Amino acid sequence: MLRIQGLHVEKRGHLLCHVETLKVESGDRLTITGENGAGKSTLLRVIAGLERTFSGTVQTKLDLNQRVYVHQDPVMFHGSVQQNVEFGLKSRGVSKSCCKEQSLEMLERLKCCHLHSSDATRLSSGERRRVALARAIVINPSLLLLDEPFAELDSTGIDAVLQVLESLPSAILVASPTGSPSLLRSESFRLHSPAKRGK
Amino acid sequence: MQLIQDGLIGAWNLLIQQDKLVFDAAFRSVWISIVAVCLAACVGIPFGWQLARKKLPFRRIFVMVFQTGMSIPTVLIGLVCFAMFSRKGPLGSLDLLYTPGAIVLGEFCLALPIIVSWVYRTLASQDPRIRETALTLGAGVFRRAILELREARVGIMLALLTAFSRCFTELGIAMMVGGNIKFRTRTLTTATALETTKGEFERGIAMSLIILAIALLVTLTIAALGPKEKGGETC
Repeated sequence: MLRIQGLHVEKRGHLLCHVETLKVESGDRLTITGENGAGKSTLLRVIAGLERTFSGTVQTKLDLNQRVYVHQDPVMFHGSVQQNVEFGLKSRGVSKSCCKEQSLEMLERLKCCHLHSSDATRLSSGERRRVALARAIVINPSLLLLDEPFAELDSTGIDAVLQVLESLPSAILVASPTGSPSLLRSESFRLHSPAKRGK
Repeated sequence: MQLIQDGLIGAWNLLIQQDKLVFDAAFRSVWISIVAVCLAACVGIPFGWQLARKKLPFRRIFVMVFQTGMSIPTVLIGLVCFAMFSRKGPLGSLDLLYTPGAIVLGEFCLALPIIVSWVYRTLASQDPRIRETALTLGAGVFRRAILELREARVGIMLALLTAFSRCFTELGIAMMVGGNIKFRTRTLTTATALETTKGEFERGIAMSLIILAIALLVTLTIAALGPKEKGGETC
């Protein structure tokens, strides 16, 4: 599904991320750990196709819209929560009634259905994160790239998100700083800080 | 002082009596400016988006040209348009000189750089996560463009209002390519200049008051839109 070899991301002379080999198969669960600045987000962004300046090989047969990335600090579009969750579905040409049904169902599973008509730009950071996850998961991508998805979530939120993630058929890559909650039954891939590696 | 006082009283009476000359020029000024801004928006918004999002050749030169265009004197635009529309000019066969159409096209040239520059600047400084999120959720180019423009709608509204304000209060273009023809191409600014030189001070003031009122309305709208944008950026 995804194969990375000799990935090297550098910006303005600074090494941001280095990965020798990484292989992800369909349905895999992988937690990418590492200290701050180790390049976890950069790695996910490269896989998502959002970072294009790198050397090395990233081989995948997945289209860009099958690799969905959720930012560390997700952004909400103007409009209601439901409109936000429906965005990806509408982009895929899903009918209006199906969009509504699927988005409400996903919000329900993430325990934030009560927010469906709220202004998405005025949510708390934990609510925003759950809505962003709902927006990404509802389109059923083959590869889900989550950048610190549990940050700012309360225990109910973490449980709800974990439950949904565990039930998905998609391959999931989670960037997570060392010591924070992670996916159950996931393998761990540790990134080392480029600064330390240089020494 | 007495002159101004009498002028203001006379102007008030003309406005109350709905003076035909004053209201005809006011109506023409409004519709010409609206049409010019709408046309400039149709061209300028997509072009501003292209400049901000696509790696166009000579992008920096385009940006510089449009930014310079924002401060071009209206008389210069009027002069160039006059040369284009005059009988010997390249567009002389269209017979547009001294018609409202010529003023619309002149004001289009005035509004276009304002709209392109503002849209470019608004989109260039937009949170990159908006574009990235749309991209990763599978939105195509058209859907992404619509989303980005919708997210930047306050900046775009300000661009349109600024362009309208500039078109509505300009004098050079309307005078040079419109010719200030009574009940045909006379606008508020050209009429104000003419009435004042004729000694019709009251009518001049009445027209200036309308210009001032509309300019004030636009400014208040811009001021009302501005802070909301700041407050809205909670994410």
